[in-house]
Amino acid sequence: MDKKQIITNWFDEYGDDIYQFFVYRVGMKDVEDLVQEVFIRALHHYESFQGNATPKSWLYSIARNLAIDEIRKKSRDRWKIFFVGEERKMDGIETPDDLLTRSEVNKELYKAIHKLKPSYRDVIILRGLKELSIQETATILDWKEEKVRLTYHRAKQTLKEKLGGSIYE
Amino acid sequence: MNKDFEKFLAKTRKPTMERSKKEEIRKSIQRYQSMEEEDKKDRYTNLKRVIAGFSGLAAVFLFAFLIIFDDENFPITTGSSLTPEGLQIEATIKPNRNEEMSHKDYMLEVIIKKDGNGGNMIYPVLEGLSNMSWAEREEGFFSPGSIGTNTLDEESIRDTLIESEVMGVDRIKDISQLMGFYIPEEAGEYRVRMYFEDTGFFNSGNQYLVYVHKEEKRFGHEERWTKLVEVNTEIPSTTAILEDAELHDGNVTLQLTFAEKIEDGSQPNGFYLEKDSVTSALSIIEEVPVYLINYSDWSEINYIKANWEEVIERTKEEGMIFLEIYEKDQKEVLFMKEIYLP
Repeated sequence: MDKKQIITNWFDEYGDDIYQFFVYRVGMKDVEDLVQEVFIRALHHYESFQGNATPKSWLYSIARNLAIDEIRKKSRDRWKIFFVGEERKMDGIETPDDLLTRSEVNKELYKAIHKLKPSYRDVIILRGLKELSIQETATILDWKEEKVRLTYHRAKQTLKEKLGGSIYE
Repeated sequence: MNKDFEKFLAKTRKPTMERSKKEEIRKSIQRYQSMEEEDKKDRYTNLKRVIAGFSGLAAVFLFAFLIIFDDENFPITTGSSLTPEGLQIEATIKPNRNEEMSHKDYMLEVIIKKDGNGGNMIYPVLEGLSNMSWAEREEGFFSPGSIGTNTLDEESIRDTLIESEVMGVDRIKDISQLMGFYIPEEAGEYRVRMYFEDTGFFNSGNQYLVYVHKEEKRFGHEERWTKLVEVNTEIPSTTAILEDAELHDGNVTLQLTFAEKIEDGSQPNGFYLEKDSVTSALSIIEEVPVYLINYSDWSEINYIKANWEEVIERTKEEGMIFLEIYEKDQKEVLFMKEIYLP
């Protein structure tokens, strides 16, 4: 199988995971360009992909670096663009906006995650929302497994406080 | 408890990409390889381009020299530039009357008259109104393609608000939540109508709009100035004295004596009330927002959002309270606000 086909298969398998990672990590809903960039980078650096990481972990690592760059860029000259067609919904398609704002629980969780500090946000998204293993999370974040456990525990406590408890009980 | 929280996080429904976007990304992965191959071919032709480019540059420099130093024959913009004096803005908040936008509570209508050209962003700074959006098509109204904000504009707005001393520091801090829109650069009259959700609007009179003018000048210099405009409100209201209130099954029944405000310069508020001779009952749902005067802070009249139990309690304590009842076309009560009568 040529590398183009491999990356396309990875995209089919993990595209939505990477997309969700960006939505929660960067705090924007139009992150398709970032998703595309992850897979283009993966294609470009395919030769450097080592078998000691799974494709999923490798893609998440690329995504995390891109997310950090994006947030830096945003804080330098923040230009938040939202298309005015908020009211123009496409029939039968559930947009991220729909999903994140229709449900009060989703909205509150989305807002609360953005209020977390970056390391807590990383670990909540990967461990909590995406249910990656401690080992996978440690590989992606380049942390020791113990640090993942401890940070995840603290991040959960902080997130619970921000959510106020009642929302998930 | 921790396990429950983990389950809650894992089970939260997450957004997925639209199918069309996925297809686009798939295509760009396919295209990327051919781009890589094309890049190799391109390297050989690049040298030729560089040589041609240098010759072109010489011509461009000559032309640029003429443009920069011959302002008469090569003005940077066509038409006259807009000045603060040449800009007139009238902005009014009204109850939303557009059925297609029934999930929005209020609309802001803005009429902008420009006698000169220039880029712009216009930021409503509205207390208690959020989630600005536009209707799909509205005849006679301009609809911008996108809305947004940037750090530089936010700084300009912050400076404008501080210099004008129109609002407290706490509210100025919130302006990072601002969202702006634009109108065309060309001189002319533009009407814009946008819709908002009520997140605590109580007609405080503390509503503004900031027009940020931006114009590119020579050597990349950007001329910018701002104009602050006070936003009017056009929400019909009636004045009443609340004599008693009762809460039952999610409804509130108010015993009201309606009153008319009669202008009188000798009164502290500039008016006095002429009461009806009868008391009427008005039933509303408990969700109708009500705002009471915060008597713990007398530095200026400020309001706190209250629940109906608190209103009932204050009415019983005081014997009565004065209310301004804001309505949508005399059919639906939008909110109520206590008024102060010395």
